[in-house]
Amino acid sequence: MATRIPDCLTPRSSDPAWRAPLDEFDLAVRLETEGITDEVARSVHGFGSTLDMAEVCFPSFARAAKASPLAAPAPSAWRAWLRGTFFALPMLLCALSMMTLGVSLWGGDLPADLASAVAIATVASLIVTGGFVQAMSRRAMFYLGACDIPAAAVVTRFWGTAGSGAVLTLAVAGLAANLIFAWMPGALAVHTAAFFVLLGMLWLGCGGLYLVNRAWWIAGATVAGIAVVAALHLGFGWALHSAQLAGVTAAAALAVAGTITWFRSHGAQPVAGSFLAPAREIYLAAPYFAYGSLYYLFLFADRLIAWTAQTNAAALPLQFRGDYETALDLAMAAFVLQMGWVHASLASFHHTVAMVQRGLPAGQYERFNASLREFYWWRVARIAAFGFASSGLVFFLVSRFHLLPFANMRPALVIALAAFPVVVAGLWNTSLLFTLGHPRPVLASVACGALASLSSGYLLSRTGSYDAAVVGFLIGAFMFAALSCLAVLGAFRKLDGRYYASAL
Amino acid sequence: MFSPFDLFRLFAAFAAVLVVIPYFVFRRNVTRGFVHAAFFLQIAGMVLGDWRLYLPGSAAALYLLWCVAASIMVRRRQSSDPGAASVIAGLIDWSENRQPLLAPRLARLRRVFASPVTTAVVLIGATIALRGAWFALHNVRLMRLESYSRALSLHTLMRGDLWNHDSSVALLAPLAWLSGLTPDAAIRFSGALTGAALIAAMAFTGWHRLGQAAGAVTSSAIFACLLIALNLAPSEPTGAEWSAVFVILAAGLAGEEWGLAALAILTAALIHLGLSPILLLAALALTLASLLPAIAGRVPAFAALAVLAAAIFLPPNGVAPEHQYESAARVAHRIAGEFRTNDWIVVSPGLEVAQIYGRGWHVELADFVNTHSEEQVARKGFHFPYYAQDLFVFVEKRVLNQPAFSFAHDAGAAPYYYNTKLGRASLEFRAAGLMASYVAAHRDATVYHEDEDLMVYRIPQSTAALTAQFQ
Repeated sequence: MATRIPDCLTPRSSDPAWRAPLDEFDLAVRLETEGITDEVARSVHGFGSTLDMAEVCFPSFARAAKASPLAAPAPSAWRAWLRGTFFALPMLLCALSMMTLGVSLWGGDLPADLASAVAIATVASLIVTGGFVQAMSRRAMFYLGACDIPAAAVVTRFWGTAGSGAVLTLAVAGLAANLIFAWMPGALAVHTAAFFVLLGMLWLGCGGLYLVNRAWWIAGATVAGIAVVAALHLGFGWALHSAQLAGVTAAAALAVAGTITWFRSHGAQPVAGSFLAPAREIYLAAPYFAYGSLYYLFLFADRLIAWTAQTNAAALPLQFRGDYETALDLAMAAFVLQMGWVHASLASFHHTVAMVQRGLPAGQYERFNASLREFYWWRVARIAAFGFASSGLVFFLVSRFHLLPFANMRPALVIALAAFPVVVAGLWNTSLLFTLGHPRPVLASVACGALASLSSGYLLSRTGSYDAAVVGFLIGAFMFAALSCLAVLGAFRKLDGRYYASAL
Repeated sequence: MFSPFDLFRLFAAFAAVLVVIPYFVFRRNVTRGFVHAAFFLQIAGMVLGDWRLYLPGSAAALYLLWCVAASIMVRRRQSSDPGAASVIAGLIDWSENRQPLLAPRLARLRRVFASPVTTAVVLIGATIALRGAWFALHNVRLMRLESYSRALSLHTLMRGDLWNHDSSVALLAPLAWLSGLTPDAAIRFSGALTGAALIAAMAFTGWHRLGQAAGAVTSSAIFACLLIALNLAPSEPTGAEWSAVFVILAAGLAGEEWGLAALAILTAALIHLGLSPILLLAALALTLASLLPAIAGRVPAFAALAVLAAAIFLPPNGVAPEHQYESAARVAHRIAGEFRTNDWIVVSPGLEVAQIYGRGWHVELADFVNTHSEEQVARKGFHFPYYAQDLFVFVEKRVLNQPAFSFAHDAGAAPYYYNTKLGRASLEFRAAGLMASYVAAHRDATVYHEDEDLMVYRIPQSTAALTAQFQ
């Protein structure tokens, strides 16, 4: 008879990753994984089969599970919400700086041509780097989750370098194309390219800081950048755009340095990434890369459409529309408030799954799926309620304090305020689908949303006034939310299987 | 200012939009791809142009949708398509095992393009294209009066303005967008494009009708020689020449692919409903090629050399009628390049509009002269009532010796001023007097350009002074 007890029969309560078997079948699988086949169970341990052995041993685990606390406490919703809104910290700091010092890291009181240049550089840099930041986060977080910090450092460097290379290449290509197509005067094109490159570096650096959970570094980099702008513009009398270029450079350098120092301080030595096959890396990250780019395209498609509408009599083929931008930026304030709930809802989803899993026997997967479907709809309702309430609050504040000086842009503000809660619902679906390792429907829904926004906004703005582009955004938002919702419902029909597969 | 690079850009755009992308969409069938793409772009241009929606975004989106839809339809018919998965697998294999990726494909291309027949046809096409581009490479102005109206039609189509409907320019709009050429430059260089397309179509038809590759060389060489001899090689082609390309192509397709031939004929009819004399030359070339002994096509280099010799010994006409001074066209482009878009106004006879449309504003010289008097502009505080940073006034020192036209078909002063020598002389005389009076009283006016034919004045405008004058 055996003297050694199989490892899986020994509870390891000190190991946080260890879970008690769900039932006798789960325990039988674990025994077989350790080599306890029917023959071994019979000849070595004296049981009829592996399943008999599991049936005998399982009650002790069941007793232990009852004795242990049922589940970890639920995460604080408000804390999770606050963490979800953290991405807007640089924007908030820029807005505060604008109100107090009259300068910001980008934008502000610039001449019309330069304002257009900065606007297109900002949007283009977000669209271009969005894919790299998503891919970098996804791949590096995979390794961080496995506590393999050197590998995380290698993939972060790979995607960061690739992103920087893409930004520089596109800037040079854009300048060369401008020589042929003469979209803007040469000097203005150089300014646009410079803003594009530096802002791209800033977004990549901030992406790295999010990845290593250094949110306060982002705030620090933003404040340092603003300080440089204020010192050079207000102190030394530099032109605002030159001071902003210097400020963005400083902020980007700090953000990149913050990411590098984190990896170094956690023992990630610079290693040759020989394990990293670029094509395989690109293949694995491709859906997340595409999502990152498409998401920003979807978010800013209406602006691009509005800025390029009816420019026949203008000096540039792209005109920054300050009135439209003001309306959209005010609506964006509501979006920041609403976005926090996506993070909070996702944290709650993981907690709920754990709770439902504990409360149900393994065989009752239908009830498991039904419970989480119910949770999903309940969360959608809460997101919608909070979203429309916060949109209403922003509208009230804008009206009360006359924050929108352009009366003709009020319809655009209302439509954007109506669209953002729908976008947030779509993002909730998106985060669920990513969690379940189901990225393809996400791509389809965000691509359709961007396409709907672009096509309908284009037609409406070309046949009507340029602010009609916001209607395209609303249509795109509904398309994005509806398609991603259908995908989530499809995934939830077999959630048990998907959840299990996503954990592999 | 203009270089062979412009010609290259137009050819590159043509190749991308009508040849390379459709070639891949239609699974390596270049003729099918070309005919379908041309038909689609012609229809799209005509329909959206009338709705004032043929803009770069809508055209690009439609083209992309067409590519996707056509690709799906073609793939459904050819179910053995390996799809994108094989491409991704190939890329991974290449990156990990360093398998050659491009070498086999390049070798295949080299085999096609290094054949004597292909080389000869390309040489013949290049000869005709160069002949068609000869005037455009040396001049900025347009050769024919109709070309000015076609350039204006292309301008209005591409900017979503009220389209001065001309079906023959619809196919040029995507090429102008992609190449970054101004519409007037696209019209100027389109002769080269049409010439090359005619030779390619003739070679295709000769190959199919005569049943051998050598037929492609002989028929296209004879056709090219006839074009050169009769001075019919297109320089600034109208719809008739473009339409001829598709009719010749349809003749080659007839009997083998009736559907595609019908589509080519339909495209030709949409571009121009009529028959070009070039078609008679094509038929003649095909007949002559069929009568030649088989040995004639065995040495394709001779055919190409014969065309080259014909082009050298029968050079294109050096003298073209002037509807506009060459320097006027060049100065108009220089202003558009130097100054901020839409911040300036050109005052000149109407043809400069073809060069500056969409980049600056234009005032007819006749209106300008009739609106102001010499006494009025001689006052110190006078400012011309135009809100722009700069005003450029074109005055001819030597009145343009333009071809005489009958103006009985039109009423009003414009035909008298612009279509008769006496009318034009009186107009330019009054303009010169007006500017002399203005310059004498205003020190800010400068001469921007002067040569033996033309004087261009530059008058900086002050918005504040204008506002004060009108208040």
